[in-house]
Amino acid sequence: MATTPVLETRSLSKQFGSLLAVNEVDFEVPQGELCAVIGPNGAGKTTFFNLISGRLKPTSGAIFFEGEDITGFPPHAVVKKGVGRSFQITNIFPRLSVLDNVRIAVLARRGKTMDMFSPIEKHTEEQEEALGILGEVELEHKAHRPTTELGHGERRNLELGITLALEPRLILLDEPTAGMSIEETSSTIDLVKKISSDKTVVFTEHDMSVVFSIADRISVLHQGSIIAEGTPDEIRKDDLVRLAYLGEEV
Amino acid sequence: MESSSSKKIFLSRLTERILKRFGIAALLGLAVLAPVLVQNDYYIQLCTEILIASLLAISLNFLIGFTGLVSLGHAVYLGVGAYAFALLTKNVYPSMWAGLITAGASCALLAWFMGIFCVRLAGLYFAMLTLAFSQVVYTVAYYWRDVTGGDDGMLGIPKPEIGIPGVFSISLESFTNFYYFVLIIVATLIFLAWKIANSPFGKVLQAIRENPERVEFIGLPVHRYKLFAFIIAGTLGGFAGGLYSTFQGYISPDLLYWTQSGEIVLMTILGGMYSFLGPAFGAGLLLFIRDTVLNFMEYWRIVVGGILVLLVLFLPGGILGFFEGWMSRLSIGGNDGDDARS
Repeated sequence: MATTPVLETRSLSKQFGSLLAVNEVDFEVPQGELCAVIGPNGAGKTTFFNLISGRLKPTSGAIFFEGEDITGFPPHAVVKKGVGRSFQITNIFPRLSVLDNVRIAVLARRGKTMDMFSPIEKHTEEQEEALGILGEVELEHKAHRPTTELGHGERRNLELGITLALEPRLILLDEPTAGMSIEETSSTIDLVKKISSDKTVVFTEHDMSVVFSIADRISVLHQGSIIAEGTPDEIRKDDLVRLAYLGEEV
Repeated sequence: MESSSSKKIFLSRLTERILKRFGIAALLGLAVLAPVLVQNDYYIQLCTEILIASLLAISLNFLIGFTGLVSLGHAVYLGVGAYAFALLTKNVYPSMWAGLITAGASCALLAWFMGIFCVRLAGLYFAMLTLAFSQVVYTVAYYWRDVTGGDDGMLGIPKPEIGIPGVFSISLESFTNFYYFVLIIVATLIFLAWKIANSPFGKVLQAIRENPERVEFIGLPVHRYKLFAFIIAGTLGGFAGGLYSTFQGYISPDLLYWTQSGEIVLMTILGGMYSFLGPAFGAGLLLFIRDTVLNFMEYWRIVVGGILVLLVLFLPGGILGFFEGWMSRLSIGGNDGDDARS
């Protein structure tokens, strides 16, 4: 018996003027998998993520999360359902402390953000949890510093921490290693692997060696359509993919 | 190594906190002793006006400094609160408390209504819409002579006595009594605002200021939080309007005019919008300059403008912002980023 996929899109399309950025995409992510969506620049990866996470409304088609139709939900409602995402361009709260960046997400998940009269420090449970998450992304020692003191890789990790604090069952990661040094990349990849051990993860990535080494499944997006899907081995052997995208890289 | 540095951070945050507490205690002491210190009715009245303006500026800063929404129509609450107080105490029932509650409640309603439209916008569009709404209300107050007295305004707004009927009553006709009454109301409301600012809700507002889209992506409906901030700011502004009404005893549509809104924005920037009490300092400074310069010439705004230019160039965090930054630099690295300055 087939179980319900965590995420499913049915002929999902997005048109910007005359440009069909995402074209009739049928996409399924089974429970617990680490799926990569790859494709050249402008293939529609980020648009695809924006559709799933509610940032953009699809022109046609439908999106299902754990079997429930979430098409057209605003971003905050998609998050409440259990979908967390991180962004290609680091998206944090710059002038809050590192701890507050994560704490606010923990408080949001636990529905405590309408509390107007107790000091934020009194929510010790949430604070402990936020510190724990900072530990996971290796930022605990900087909890009380302003984010302006973080390096690029650390900011990416902080963003991941914010997303993890939401305890999503599905995580969308848009180029988690964008702009990172080699060392930062490898530590972030370890982190992504760790996260995916008990969560479903969909990610996009430029670095093909990363994609082929960690992904369970790969979908190749080209000019808004999925042209191939399969395990890393299958994708490596696919002629169409070689032609369209991979070239000599593999 | 790690533990010694975190101990240092802890200690410097502690000193900063103690300094802050000391500063607030000194400020409160000064406010309580002010009438004794100045010994002059004219200055007691100036101090009263500064207190009311402080509340007004802090209420606006809920939007500007906290939520990152620059409102150019905040005078609407000063005006509507003032008219609500005047209309109730003159025409319905002369009670201080009923007047103030009416002022606050009518502004809460107005803010809720305006907010539904305004919070969908950000930046310049938000500023323009708040300006437009306030000008609409100004026009209504100006032309609706039967109710508001038109451009003649309203005269003879009472200072009803307070107390328990038949048990005791305190007259507020004396400048000193009225000053203390205003001090208690303003201090209570500012304390309430401070509680909200430091709550999880207050932190969400700051997060919206920093990055509204990310707030949406931690699962919070940004519009709703902005609307609540808008209503809180409006209600507090309405209380300031009510107090101003009874303080002056006379009001006119000028209270609602857009230059009045601009003045409240100036107070906020002068004092520092990223520190909680900054706008209160700005209010004090602005009114003090106005009073001092008016003795010599009519064009006191030139002086304020000059100071503002210098401030924006050299102390972009405002006056209190500058002192706080200076204090936390003294207590090595004590800044935990909560009130970081640009």
